Amino acid sequence: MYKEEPNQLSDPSRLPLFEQAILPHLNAAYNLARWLTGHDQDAQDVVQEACLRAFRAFDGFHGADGRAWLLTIVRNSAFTLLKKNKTALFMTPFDEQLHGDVQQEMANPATELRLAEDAQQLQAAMENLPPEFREALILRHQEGLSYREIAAVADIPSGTVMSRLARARVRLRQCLVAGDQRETRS
Amino acid sequence: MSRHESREILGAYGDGELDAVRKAEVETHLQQCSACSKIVAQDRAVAEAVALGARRFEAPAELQEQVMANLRAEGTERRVLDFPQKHKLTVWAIAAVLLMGSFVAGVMISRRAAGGDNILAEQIVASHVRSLMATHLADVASSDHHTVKPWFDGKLRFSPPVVDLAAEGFPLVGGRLDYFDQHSVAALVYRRDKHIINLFVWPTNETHESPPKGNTSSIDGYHLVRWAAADMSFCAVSDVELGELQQFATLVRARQLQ
Repeated sequence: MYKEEPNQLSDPSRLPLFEQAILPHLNAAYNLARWLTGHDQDAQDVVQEACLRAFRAFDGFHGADGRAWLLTIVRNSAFTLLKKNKTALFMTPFDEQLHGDVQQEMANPATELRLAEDAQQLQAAMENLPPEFREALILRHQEGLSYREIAAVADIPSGTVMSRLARARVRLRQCLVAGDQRETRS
Repeated sequence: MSRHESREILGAYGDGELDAVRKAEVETHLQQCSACSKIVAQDRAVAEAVALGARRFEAPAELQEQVMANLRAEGTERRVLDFPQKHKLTVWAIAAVLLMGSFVAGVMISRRAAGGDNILAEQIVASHVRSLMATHLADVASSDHHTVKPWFDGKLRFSPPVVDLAAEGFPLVGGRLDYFDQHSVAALVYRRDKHIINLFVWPTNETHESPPKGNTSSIDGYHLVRWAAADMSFCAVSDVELGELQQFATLVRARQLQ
C-alpha cells in the first residue's frame, strides 16, 4: 500500500523492500570490501556504489538470498577498483604440490596454538595474500558461506572454490609461520 | 594404508563440504594416517584464526546513512526519469540537461513536444511492465470504481475519471500511483481475460482533437492507445490485441462523455 506523502509518488514499495532485503547485510558487505581493498574509504566507496547498483537492479532480484546477491555486487565493484588502481597482486599460477609441500614441514605443536594470537601479524599476513585468496577465506570463515555460495559470488566453479581455499590456507599458514620465525612483520 | 587424500579434499572435509560416502572414506583414512590428520588440524587452526583472530570490520554508522541518502536521491531521480537500463545514456544526458536549469529545461520541453512522444511511450511501457511484477500492480485493489476513484483524492492534484467496464468484459482490478514524464499519474488497472491493461491518466493542456480511435503505437510487443479529453491525457497500454485495446479505449471515451 501507498504510504508516503503525495509528492513522492511512484514505486512506493521499492525502497522499503530493498532496505529490508539488502541493508541487513551492510556489515558483511563492508567487511568484504574492507578486506579486499585494504582501506576504509575505498571500502565505503565500494559499498556505496554496490548498493546503488543493487538498487538499480533490484527489480531483477527475486528474493532468494539478499546477502549472497549483495556480496556478489560488492566483490565485483571491489575488483574493478583494484584493477583500476593496479594495487593488487593478481593471482599467479600456483602449481606446487600442496600435499607433499606441507607434510615435509617439521612438526611444531606450538605453532597451531599461536596462529591466531597476534592479530596484527594475522592482519598483515592476510593482506599479503592475493585478493582472490582473501576473498575465499573471508567468505568461508567469517561469513560462513558454503562452497556453492562462494562459487556463485565469485563466479567460479565449485571445484575452483575448493582448490582456492586449500591454497589460501596453505599460503596464510606459511606467512604466519614465516612471520613467526622472523618476528619482523608489523 | 590407503593413499593420501589431496589437500583440497582434506580442506573440503574440514569445511563439511563432502558427501556422506566421501566423508566416511576420508575418516577411515585419517584414522590410519597421521600426516593427513595433521593437515586437517592445520586447516582448522587457520580457519579459526580467520574466523576468530582476524578482524571483522563493521560498517561505520555514517556509511549506512550515506547509503540511504544515496538511495533516496536515486529513487527521486528514477521517478523523474525511469527508463529501462538500455536507455541509461539517454537518462544521464537528460539528467545533465535538467541540472542546467530551467532555461535549458524549457528548451528541452519544447523539443519534447516534437520528438518526445517516443520517449514518453517508452516510459509508459516501462511503467506498464513494472506494474506486472508481483506486489506492484495496484495500490488499491478493488473492482468497485466507487472505491478506486476516491482513493486518489489527496494523492493527486486531479481526479481521474474511473469507469466501470465489467459488463463489457474489462473488469476493474484497482488503481495505483505512478510517475513519468515529470508527472504524477493515475494508473487504472483493468483486466481483459488474463491480460492486464494499464490506463494512465494525467492532466494536460493539449487541445488538439484526438482521432476517434486514438493515436496507436507499439513498443516491444505492447500496444498503446493515446488520446486527450477534458484536459486529461489518457494512455492505455497492454499486450492484448490492438483491436481489443482500441475497443477498450473507445468504451472509456464513450463512458466519459456521458
